[in-house]
Amino acid sequence: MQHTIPTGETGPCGEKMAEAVAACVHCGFCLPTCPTYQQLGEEMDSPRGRIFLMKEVLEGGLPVDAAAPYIDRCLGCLSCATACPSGVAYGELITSYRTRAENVRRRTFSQKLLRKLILKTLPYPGRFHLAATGGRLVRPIARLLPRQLATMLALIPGSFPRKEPLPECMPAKGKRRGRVALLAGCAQQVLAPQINVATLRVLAENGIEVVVPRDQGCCGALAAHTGAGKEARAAAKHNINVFPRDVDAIITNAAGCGSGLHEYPLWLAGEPEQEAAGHFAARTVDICQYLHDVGFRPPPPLTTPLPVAYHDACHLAHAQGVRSAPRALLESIGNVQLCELADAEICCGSAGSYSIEQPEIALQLGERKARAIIATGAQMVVTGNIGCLMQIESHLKRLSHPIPILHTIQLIDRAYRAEG
Amino acid sequence: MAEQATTVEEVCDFVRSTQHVRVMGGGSKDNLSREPTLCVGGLSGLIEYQPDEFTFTALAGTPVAQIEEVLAEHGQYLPFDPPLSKSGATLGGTLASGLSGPGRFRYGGVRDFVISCRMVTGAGEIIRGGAKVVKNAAGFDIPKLLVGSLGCFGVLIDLSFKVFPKASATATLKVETGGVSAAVDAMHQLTHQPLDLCALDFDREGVLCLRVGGLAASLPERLQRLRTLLTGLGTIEQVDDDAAIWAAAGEFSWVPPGARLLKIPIVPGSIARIEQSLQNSRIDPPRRYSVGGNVLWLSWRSEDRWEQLPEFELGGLVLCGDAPVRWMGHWQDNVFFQRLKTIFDPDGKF
Amino acid sequence: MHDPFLQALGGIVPEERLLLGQAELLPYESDGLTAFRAKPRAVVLAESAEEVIQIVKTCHAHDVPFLARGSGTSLSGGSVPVEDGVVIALNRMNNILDYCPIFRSMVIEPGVITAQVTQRASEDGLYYAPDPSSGPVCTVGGNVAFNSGGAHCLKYGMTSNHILALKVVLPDGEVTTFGTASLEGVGPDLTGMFVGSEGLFGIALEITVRLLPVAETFYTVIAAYDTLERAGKAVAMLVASGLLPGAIEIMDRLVMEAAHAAVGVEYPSRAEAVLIVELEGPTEEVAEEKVQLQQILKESGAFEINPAKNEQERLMIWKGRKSAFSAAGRLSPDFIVQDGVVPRSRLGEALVEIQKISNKYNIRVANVFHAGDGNLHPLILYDGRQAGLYERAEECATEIMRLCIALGGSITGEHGVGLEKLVFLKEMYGPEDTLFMHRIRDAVDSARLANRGKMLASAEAPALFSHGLHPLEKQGIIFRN
Ligand SMILES: Cc1cc2nc3c(=O)[nH]c(=O)nc-3n(C[C@H](O)[C@H](O)[C@H](O)COP(=O)(O)OP(=O)(O)OC[C@H]3O[C@@H](n4cnc5c(N)ncnc54)[C@H](O)[C@@H]3O)c2cc1C
Ligand code: SF4
Ligand code: SF4
Repeated sequence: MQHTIPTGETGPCGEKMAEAVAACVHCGFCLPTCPTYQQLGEEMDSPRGRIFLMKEVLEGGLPVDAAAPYIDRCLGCLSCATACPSGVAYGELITSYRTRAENVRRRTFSQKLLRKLILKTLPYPGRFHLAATGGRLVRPIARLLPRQLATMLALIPGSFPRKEPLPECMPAKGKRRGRVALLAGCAQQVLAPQINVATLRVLAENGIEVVVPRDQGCCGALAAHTGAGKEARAAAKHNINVFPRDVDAIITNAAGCGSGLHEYPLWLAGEPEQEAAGHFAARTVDICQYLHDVGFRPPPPLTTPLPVAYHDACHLAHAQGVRSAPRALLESIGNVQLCELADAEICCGSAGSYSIEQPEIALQLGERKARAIIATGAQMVVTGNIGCLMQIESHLKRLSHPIPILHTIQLIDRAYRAEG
Repeated sequence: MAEQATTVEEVCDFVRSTQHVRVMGGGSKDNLSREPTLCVGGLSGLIEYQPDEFTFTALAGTPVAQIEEVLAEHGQYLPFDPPLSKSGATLGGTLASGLSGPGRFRYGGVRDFVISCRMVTGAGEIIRGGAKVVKNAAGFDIPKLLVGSLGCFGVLIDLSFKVFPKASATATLKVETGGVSAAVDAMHQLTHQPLDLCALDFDREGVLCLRVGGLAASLPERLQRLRTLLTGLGTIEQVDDDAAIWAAAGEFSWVPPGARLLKIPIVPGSIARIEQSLQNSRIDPPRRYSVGGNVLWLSWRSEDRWEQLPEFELGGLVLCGDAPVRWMGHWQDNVFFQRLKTIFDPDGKF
Repeated sequence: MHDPFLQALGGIVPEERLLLGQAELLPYESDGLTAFRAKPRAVVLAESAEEVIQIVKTCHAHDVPFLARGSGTSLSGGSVPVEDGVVIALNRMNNILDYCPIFRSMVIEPGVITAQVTQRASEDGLYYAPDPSSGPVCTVGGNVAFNSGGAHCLKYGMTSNHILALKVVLPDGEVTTFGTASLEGVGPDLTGMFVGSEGLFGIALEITVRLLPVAETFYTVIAAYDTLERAGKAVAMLVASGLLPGAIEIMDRLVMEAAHAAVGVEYPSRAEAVLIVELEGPTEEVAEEKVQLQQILKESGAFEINPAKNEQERLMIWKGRKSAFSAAGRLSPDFIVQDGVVPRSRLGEALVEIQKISNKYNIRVANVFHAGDGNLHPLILYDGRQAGLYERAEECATEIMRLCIALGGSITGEHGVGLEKLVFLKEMYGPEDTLFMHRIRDAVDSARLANRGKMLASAEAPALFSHGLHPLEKQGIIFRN
């Protein structure tokens, strides 16, 4: 598409944004896969429409605030990028745009408060734990709070699992086949610490030694995807520094974090660390993909057949292109019967802090996903992302179908330990 | 007596100088061309035919049979089996009355094969619509509008059609299902299957005629499979000369001499109701269901009460026999039609 | 809201479905052809036929032009708004109203996505034959307006051949119906006349489509050629052979590159052009036909013939082919898609001429087309940011269009005239026939409200924001401020 974006004046990512806009041929192939277009049925809430709006803002023809409602409603699920034959790098466009727009846009006081709250708590396990406990206390007065805050409270689980301190190093079982570093994730450590424990055990089982760098911080994805560029850059620089260089790979088991790490070169465009960020991103790989690539050692079969629905986390499938590896791992376990979901490419509505900021759409998408899962008749759901896990679990419960839900790696771990 | 036109100019002159124009082509549908004022049978001949292009252009008065003959020399045909070709139907008459035969079932009707036309409007102007290529989305689809228009928009001068390669072998199975309702049930089973049937007709005795066409080498196997599918539905017989029985169907040889012949468009779902009305009436007229239950060809004797037809909710085009009307139906009330008519025929000549 | 017209619209749909703000209107300013843009006064998101009827009546009462919009994938500027007119968005009207598998028909709202018709019917072994490459996106309403085609229209025809009945609202708000669920009718084929009228006759509100049984077996093959011309000649041989494949398509080197980058399909490495041929039918029949097909392809000089080994490979071949237009975005920041038709027997000749034109203007032209129908889709690649290139590309496109007319073909096989080919309609049909079409339009829509300025050039064409002079401007038909 033709544009007159002044790339010189639109920041370090100006060129990248302009490239994405130029590559869009307005064909609309992305429309049917965009969850917000499906739900809202209006062009502004489609990828094509958003690209158009961003272009207009960048060109200076449209105020940032006028476009904001539609840009904000984007889940960042990147389903559109998968569908786009023209190779539009939508992810790079929206992330860069959000960072740029955040500096200029006007937000109401309660919006600001909410953003602060999200950005200052979710990424910090300690604070999150604290805030969540506090949140539970104010739940009775939730009606009086702004709508979005109320949703945030509703999402807080009734109780938290026991904290699971992770070892700094987990040796490989048997002959060592590789050595990796694990990104532990922030919200995940609070909400489901078992996932990391399972990850360590499965890696060990496969002859992989794991280090868990003590000083690691939040990946920064939440900040980046809500336009908080400064926080995101700080997080990226920090992690690039503290992660060891002498490992084969940096393993992520939360799809959102994984895709964040892959975006480090974009966030740090024009910064001295850009090159290091490139190397860092190149070594980052999702746990399932890694296991698949090194040659997975399948666990013993489950004792009884188990129909399992696999949910594609957007940040795995669309952002990192990881689709077949998790399926292959699961299928290698005897008695696991994989069920495919209808509209598998559509987001479940979790999308980082999205379910807090856009509760209505998140609700519709969550419910839709839950229904698709129920329709398969599966007795267990697995997925590769903590956000999806929480979202789907709560919607399955709401529909009175509390099908157990696990991280992919947890099911594999159980199989090794014959708990299946 | 009707004026004879052999050139486009003569047609234009005639239209300009006359108040009432009713065109006759070959006269094979006598009820439609009753009391003609203009005969275009002389406007005849193939203008252009490129076998490797699979298209031809001919003057509207050209007999269909003549075209079919030329096409056959190159292994080509008009897949909609234009009816009454042996009785002298012309290309223009076939299009204007919107008639397709049993082959309509497979690839489509006359509307789906006409690609271009030239005509004289009520103002005596010559206009052209469509293009002589198999695919064209430019401008209004005037050739399609003229299909079935019964001359009410103007006089056709020439027409272009696309054609298809003719199957190198064809065969027909007859199944005696025992009655119309059994035939309808059997039809529903068959129309969902990927059998590529060329035609599917049945008569009031429930004798189902299924035509298959394709390469000679694969035909026996396909027939065998069809027989297996049909097992249990009734006696199956392969027809000796399948061309002959479909030709006879196209000429309506089952219609008693002098009787009226109607084309009644229907949906398969209405057959049960139609049969009930017809069987209960004392008349029980000869009839044939064609195009997979989408057309009822009905014969109606002149002595039988005409008013019964609307009572049975039956209406359509009366092709042959001396009938009180040319058609039954209300398409002339359609507002879109009326608006178009003001342009094609401002003075109401047609 | 002081504008009485907008107030009237506000009485028909709730506030949130009447879009008036700048950010809301901008994304509706163009369609799949981004060279043209125009600002609508309002966009109405309609949810029922009754609403559409009321909106049209209101437009008529206030003398405001309007147009329907499906998914906005038109490649000819068909769904570019009428300047200051109303866009009636139909994408939310996407219900299947009635589905009769036994009678093989379906009644749908106009906003139903084309591919969804087949998706629904596939439960019963049926499908909807027209398969535009944009099938997963475009609406049946848009297809009806443009008489859209696709790769598989060789045997069973375009959209028009599959539309049985329509309920439409005429441009003054009058509602009427054409056709019935029967394959046959009596009286003029009004359905056939409405299909392909590019929205000038009003808006289709309900569409009855015909369904066909899915073929039992497919045999899909990619044949590689060392020149484009040779592939073109192979098509003529195939057509003349008397085989009737379901599809015959050609892609050239550049298009293969783009499709490979887009969806990862592999093509024979040394091929300058490939032919995709698909046979479909009963298993026994296809088994015989494929022997013949291979024979013809060999004789035509194909140096490699690769049949799809399974359904997955077959789908990949089609995915590659169908992504071609959008994938061209990878070859060049800007391109113009042409849609001319030439007689099939002159395909080889046309390709040689197109190559000459491409050389003459020094503009790259990528070729992908429905070869079996003689429907060319040259993709004229240019970089609009470089001065003078848009103009050159446009001239190159014009010359290709004139070539099609000169060879006795058509200026559009399936994308419609829209805005893009306004001037060429007259060149194709001549002044009298074009004038007659104007008169037809005026009889149906005396106020010229429905899709004003499309298909038939008139003084009130919308303002165009593209680079350089549009051919209509050069002719003094339209002006911009
Ligand atoms: C990548 C790509 C590939 C394509 N491939 C093909 C192809 O293979 N074959 C092909 O034929 N086309 C193709 N097209 C063109 C386009 O998809 C078709 O023209 C399609 O029919 C447009 O449908 P739409 O719903 O997007 O309509 P829109 O673009 O929204 O509208 C098109 C026109 O239809 C009118 N309209 C829409 N709905 C109605 C209605 N209900 N009643 C009356 N008028 C209406 C509009 O006013 C407009 O004039 C392609 C386009 C793209 C972008
Ligand atoms: S699919 Fe890609 S090129 Fe097409 S409109 Fe969407 S983003 Fe643009
Ligand atoms: S990222 Fe997801 S929500 Fe955002 S535009 Fe793309 S498909 Fe739609």
